[in-house]
Amino acid sequence: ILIRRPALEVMDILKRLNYNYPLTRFLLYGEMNAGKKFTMTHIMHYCRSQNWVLLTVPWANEWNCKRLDVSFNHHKESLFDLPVHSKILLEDFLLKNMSLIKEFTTSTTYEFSEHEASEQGIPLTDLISFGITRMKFANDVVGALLKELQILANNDKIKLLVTIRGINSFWRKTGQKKEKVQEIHAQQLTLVNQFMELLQSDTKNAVAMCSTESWVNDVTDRKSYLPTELMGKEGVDFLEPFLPIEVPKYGNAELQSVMDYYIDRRWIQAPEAKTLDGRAQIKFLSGHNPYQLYRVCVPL
Amino acid sequence: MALCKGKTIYHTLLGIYKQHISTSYFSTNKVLSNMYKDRVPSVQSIEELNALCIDDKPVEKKIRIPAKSEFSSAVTYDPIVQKFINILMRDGKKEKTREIIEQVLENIKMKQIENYHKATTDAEKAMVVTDPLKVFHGAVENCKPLLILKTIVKGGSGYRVPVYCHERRRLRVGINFIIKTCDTRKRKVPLSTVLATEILQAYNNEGNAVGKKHQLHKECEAQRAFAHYRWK
Repeated sequence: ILIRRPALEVMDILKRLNYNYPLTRFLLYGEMNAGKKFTMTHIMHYCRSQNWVLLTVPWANEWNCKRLDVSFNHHKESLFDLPVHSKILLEDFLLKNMSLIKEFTTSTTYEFSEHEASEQGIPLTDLISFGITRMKFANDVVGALLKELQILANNDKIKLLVTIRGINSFWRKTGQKKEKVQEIHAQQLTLVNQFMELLQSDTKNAVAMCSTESWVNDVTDRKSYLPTELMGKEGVDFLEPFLPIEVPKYGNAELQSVMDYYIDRRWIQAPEAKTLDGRAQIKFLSGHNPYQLYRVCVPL
Repeated sequence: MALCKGKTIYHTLLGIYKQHISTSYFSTNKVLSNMYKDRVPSVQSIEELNALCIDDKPVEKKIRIPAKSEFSSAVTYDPIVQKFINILMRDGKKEKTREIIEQVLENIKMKQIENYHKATTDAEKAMVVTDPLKVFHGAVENCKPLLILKTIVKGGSGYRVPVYCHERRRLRVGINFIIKTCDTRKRKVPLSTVLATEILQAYNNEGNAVGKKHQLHKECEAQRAFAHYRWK
């Protein structure tokens, strides 16, 4: 059995939480390739077995890349839309939570433009499929979805889990230039603003899990891994009452059990590496890092 | 040796005659130094010898830098794989070739593990070899030729004669066969995937690299009439 300690801590806390209070925020931090993504998948699997609704953002730095398909927002002049990425988000959401959203309907009307609007009382799946087919309004549909989920959670009908991986990309510059002259900052995107409203709202029955990654920076800047250095002062002020959880490197007993697992699955094959001497060499070469353990055993 | 002695005599005479020689009869410059006149007397006793070098400094020797080699007693070291890396390297870029061969070994391992899990009966599972180093050694063994053609000039014309050779030479020829079948110019796929398929085929005695070895053997058979040219 290969579950690590930070995942067990979070699961313990989730069992004993009082869900009448507003959002609780967790922050996972740790060195590069220490296993933050793996603990997040463990927690998501646990929440799914308890029938929670999952909202996942697998990699938040995708919104910061160069050559985005950016269009201007209709309602506010200064913000920018991302049609392709919001469409991918909606498709993902539909696939994961199909069986849980069947009965719910919208509560108010939403106007997307002068001629098109959605009425009251439509099932949620219709709203989402409308956003998938018409990419022009996909970003507005995402905003509508988030408001609906907040209303549903406040009425004690569903439980929400929001996971964002790489949250320190919200306070950086994107690589995109407006009409090839001005640079766009991440705060000028609508998706970022919508998620920031969610995180600071007062919904019951909801839990948010974020993680700061040093992959977001350039290749030369990747030595720091503490959250205050990565997020900056604005980020820490925004997320102020949060629960920090550290994901450490492997200990001695964990290393031995992982190597037993590799030998059982036939990843380590050389007969010299299975002795005590060989294991001590592998332990020294990897430096207690999970990813480096994987790479050292490739030619063996 | 006769040439060398004459050279030294020539150069010493040249050194002597390059000095400034005055033409008048009344000059006092020395033209040729007297060898026996300016000699320093030799050291006869130990005290004089110690008086010559006062400080006990050791004589400075030229430091000899050893040649570079990747030998190590680690678990990940193998001599034949290291030889492969050295032959594949170009322009002195060893890190790049090391990464390529790491990928090759990973590809071999993944394919064989797939075959292992697909085989249903126990007898079939025992036949599949999942160790990447064993597959590598076996492939190189199957590509080594037994005889090599060597050109010997006799009577003005050159004949290609089949000849035995050392283990080292056979290893190098075998590795070259594998590399030259894979390294074509019009390739859209990375080198590691092509090498992995080639090595797996060579382990089972199929493919182009082993075909080159068979072709060499056929040419040796055709030229066996000239085999006695090996001894003059």
